[in-house]
Amino acid sequence: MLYFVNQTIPERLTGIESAQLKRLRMLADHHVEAQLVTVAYSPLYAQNMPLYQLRPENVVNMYDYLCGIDTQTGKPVKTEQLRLPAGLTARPQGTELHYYNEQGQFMVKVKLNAAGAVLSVNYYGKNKQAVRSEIYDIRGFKSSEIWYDRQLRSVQRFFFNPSGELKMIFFYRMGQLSQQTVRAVQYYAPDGRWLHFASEGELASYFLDQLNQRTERNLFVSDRTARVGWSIAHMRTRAFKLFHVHSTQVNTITNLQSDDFNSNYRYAFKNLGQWNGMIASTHAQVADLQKKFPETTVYRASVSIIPDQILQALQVGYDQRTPFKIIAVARLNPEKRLDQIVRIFALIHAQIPQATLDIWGFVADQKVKKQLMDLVAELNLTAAVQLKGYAVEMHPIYDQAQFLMVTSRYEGTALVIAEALAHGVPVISYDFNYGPREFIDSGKNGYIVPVDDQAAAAKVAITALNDPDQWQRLSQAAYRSSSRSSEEASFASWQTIIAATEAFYREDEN
Amino acid sequence: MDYFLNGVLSESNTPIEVKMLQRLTTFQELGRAAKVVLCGYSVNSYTFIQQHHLEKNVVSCYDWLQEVAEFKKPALRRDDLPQLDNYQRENAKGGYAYLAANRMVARSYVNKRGQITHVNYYDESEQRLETDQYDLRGFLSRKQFFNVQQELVGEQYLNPVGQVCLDVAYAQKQPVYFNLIRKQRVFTEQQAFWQYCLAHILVDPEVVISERREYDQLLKKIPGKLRIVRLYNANFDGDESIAQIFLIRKQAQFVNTHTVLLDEYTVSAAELKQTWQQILTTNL
Repeated sequence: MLYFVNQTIPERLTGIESAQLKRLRMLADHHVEAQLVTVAYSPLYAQNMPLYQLRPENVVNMYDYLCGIDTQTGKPVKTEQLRLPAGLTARPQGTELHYYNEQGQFMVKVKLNAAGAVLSVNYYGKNKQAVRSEIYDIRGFKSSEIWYDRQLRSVQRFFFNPSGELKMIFFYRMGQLSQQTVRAVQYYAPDGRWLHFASEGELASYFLDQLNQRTERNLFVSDRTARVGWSIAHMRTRAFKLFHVHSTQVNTITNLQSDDFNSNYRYAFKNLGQWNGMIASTHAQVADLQKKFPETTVYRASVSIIPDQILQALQVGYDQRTPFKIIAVARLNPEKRLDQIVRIFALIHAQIPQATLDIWGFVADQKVKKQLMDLVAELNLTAAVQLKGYAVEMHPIYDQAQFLMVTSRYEGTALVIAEALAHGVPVISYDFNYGPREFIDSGKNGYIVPVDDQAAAAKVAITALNDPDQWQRLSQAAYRSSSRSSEEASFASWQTIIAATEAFYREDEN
Repeated sequence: MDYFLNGVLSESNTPIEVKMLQRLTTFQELGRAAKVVLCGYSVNSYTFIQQHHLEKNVVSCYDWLQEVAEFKKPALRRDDLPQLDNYQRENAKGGYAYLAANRMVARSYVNKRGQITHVNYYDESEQRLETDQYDLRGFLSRKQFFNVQQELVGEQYLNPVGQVCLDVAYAQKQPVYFNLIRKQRVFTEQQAFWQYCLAHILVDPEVVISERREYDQLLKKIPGKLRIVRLYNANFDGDESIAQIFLIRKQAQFVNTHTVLLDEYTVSAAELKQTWQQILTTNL
């Protein structure tokens, strides 16, 4: 079994989760057993699964597993199903219900989602002090209860199964980093025995060990090494373990062989003996990592996996697209440097007033959003540039676009480049590590321009936008080049990893 | 029915409890049905009650809260904690220590009869996380939780099948929240909480006596015909609105017509019976 370990399945995917989902589907198509493993508590994650066509057998969550919760159980709890204290009067407040006793004292607050499902029930003690918070899982049961102290800090957290049985307790203390940190974990195992853990990380190691004993010849891939790497590395049972380097390996991107490691991977790089190797997405990064860590195996597995139905879809021509539509697809974060795209677009717009720019991606940093909006206003582009937010379904967006622009400071691989090319959208990208050179043949299916060379980027865009024949040639080349991101091509690289896993376990047998 | 409000009963009863129990007999001789009401939490009270055949004369508030009723199983003994079998057990003073390597993760305590009374759980620094108290009738009765400063932050009182009946939150060592989960009642004041409980436990109260100062204020809302406060060890500074009679031990405590001289510690049984007869006849 292949286990891909991460935090959770969020409502809005980042590139890492998106890559995991594509990998999972590709392996399923090739009849390779694989599961997403999530270790974070999330009462809402189950409602995100259908968004991404995930079935219960595709995902195993630590809290579900340890607490004995089926991935799909019931329907959300409604207010009338709650056993609230009697004798209280309810007053609606937006999506909340506030309850008061006969003396007018505020006692209980019920939080609901837009569909009327109960999300939480808070109880208040003397002086309106919140003392308890019950968290309801969207699958229809109270999954957790938090106890607060006078400063509204969590002191304890209880976890339950759908029958209401207590399965785990987390005890918290004030950490050195000024945040509540786990002081101890008590777990009531299915055999009736009690287990003590000093941290959530130790608990996760125990959970991963349980998985490792449940199935055979397992591969564990750490997809968020900063969060789950320690737990995988400290599993007690023998397993084949790899960590996936999803970003650049160093902080100083001008020196890729430096020892100034990206903090997300530093622990793993410094403890390579705990791993069987690592995975990177591009040939260039594999070469750089192999050079830096010659004693360690570095596997290549592209995260840019384009499903066959996309590759086989009808091509969308110049006339079927929104004329002069340029898009950017990136979460609003400083490292994506979306201000560069706005400035490049300003140069294009000055030559082609009909041109428009849509920026798709969720807001990871409100400051970045404000700066972008201010810049758009400053450049008098309000009518031409839109921040469109996050979209689950990107295919129609790509099919309407004429160019994708990418100006990141760095990437592990720019997933959006492969996606855009697969939809016949030529890509104009700065020449950063890693990704553009993996996918773009400059002048054929897009353009790679020097970093920060806004004029060069604008020039190639203006030329192609004004020449439908040239644009059409770029687009057709984009479609053609996408075969390198096919499921088949990606599966070939995973076959290497699967073979290495098999060899690891064969060594044990011999 | 007459009721005497007190805390707990045990082998180490104080003279207050001893005299209260003697009064039960006095009241019976006077033809009155009376019961002791225990408002304090104790895993041992039942043992005393059973040994002294007081089952019909004592009612426990916590038994009512925890739905104990007639539940009775053998008390837990050292091998009845299989949940701790993942850890090395070693003898320790007053019980057993459970170790992960050399670190203690839990410690159980037993009484002279080898019955488990409580189990403490500890963090990495061997600071207490939790105390589980076991009722000698054979069930986990109360869980107490402690913060890193070792202050009590919350308590859960369980019924014999393990369901939480009462959840109490503490702030600065004081209870600030009482949730009677299964009875669907929530309170922020201790007085209101106890008044609710007593309103359900006391059936047709006539004479109600507060044996200890901490229960005096509870009399106020009890609809008895005669409410009495004992002032044996204190000068009369009580709230006259809570009771009709304040029993005093010394002549000097006489301050008004509400005070009645009755020293249960020193007078003979016959004299006691006569005085109570007089009090009841005069005031009922």
